[in-house]
Amino acid sequence: MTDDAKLQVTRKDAESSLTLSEVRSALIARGRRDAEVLLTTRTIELSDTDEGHFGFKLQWKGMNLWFLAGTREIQLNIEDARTLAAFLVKGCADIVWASPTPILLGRQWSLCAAREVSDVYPRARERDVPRRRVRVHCGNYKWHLLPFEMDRLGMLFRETLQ
Amino acid sequence: MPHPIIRRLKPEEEELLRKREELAAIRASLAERELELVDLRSQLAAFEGRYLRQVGILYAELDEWKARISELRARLDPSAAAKEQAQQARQRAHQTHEEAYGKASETRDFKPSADLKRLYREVARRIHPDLAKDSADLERRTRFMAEANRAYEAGDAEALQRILDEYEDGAEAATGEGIGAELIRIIRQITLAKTRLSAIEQELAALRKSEIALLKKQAEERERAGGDLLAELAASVRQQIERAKKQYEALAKPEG
Repeated sequence: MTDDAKLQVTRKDAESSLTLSEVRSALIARGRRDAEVLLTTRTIELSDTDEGHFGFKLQWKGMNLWFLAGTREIQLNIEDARTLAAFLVKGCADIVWASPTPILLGRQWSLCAAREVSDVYPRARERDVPRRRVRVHCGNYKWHLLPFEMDRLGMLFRETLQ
Repeated sequence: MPHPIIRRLKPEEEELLRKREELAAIRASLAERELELVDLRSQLAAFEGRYLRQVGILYAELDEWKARISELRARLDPSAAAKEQAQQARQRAHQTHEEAYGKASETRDFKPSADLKRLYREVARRIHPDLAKDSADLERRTRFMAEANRAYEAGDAEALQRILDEYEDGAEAATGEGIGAELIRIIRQITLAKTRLSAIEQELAALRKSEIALLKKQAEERERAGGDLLAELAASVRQQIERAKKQYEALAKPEG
């Protein structure tokens, strides 16, 4: 249960006129949060057959994250991040991070994508990509993560987003 | 050549004249602001209805799947934590369903015509309760104004006109008992009207800061950029629903 007590326009009863009142409005607040994510990112086409180094640049609450794809900067929305993550979990790519933003936030973003993958392919980590690690660079940090590790960190991202 | 006889106004008559002009101006302003307020309320309510019908019901479906997943997990792993999580998920699904299919979702788009607006402005200018002369008048005006607001929100011009006619038919013609009494009455009306104007400003500000107003603003910005925010939100939630279904199916398989 969220605690979203907000002002809303509503009717006291079927006969009354519209009035401003304070009601719990978790559903509208939820739409607002999701809309914020949609509006702060931009879509690009990304093919599953692309190869090489991939990355993405995202904005979240006014902050920029910089991901590189070879020499290109690409900006993605969540759906594209999902597509990218699907590609990563198939074990074909490195993510090269060059982010001036806090490392934790950058890591959370990348792992959002990983989390999405675990939803789409719930058994992928056992069946298709059992031991394939994904190399992740963020500033001076580097990890070699298994999909389930990314998945776990992706859950952290989810919680932050909530 | 005889000079025309010009009656000079007494100071209190001049003051009364000024106050009448001031009241007329404030009446016009009050009617305008009331219209703005009722328009904003109606637009937000209509947008909320659209949001709930287009996106809210999908959130309800998503939360239903999430609740099913949690309940299934609780069956597979009957720990206290899993059971509690399942209960919470079910409660959330219920709450989302209530909100998505509630009364607010029935509000349809509101597009008042110029004629309807003009008529409402006229009604507000004549009937507004804050221009009442006494308590009986206040009660009568309040009743008529509430009916007028409902008629306007329903886009019913005929009803608005009928309300105005009925009000005018029953309006008292008497203007008062002397200049002093009328002056006092008008000053009180002006004060009440100014108080109401201030209340309208506050309500407008609060409405513009409400969640639904901010969501509507986002949708308008998206529309200017050539997008459709509600459709995009709906698509995003549909994808989440598909994933939740797959997750449920994957969990359900071992159970048989």
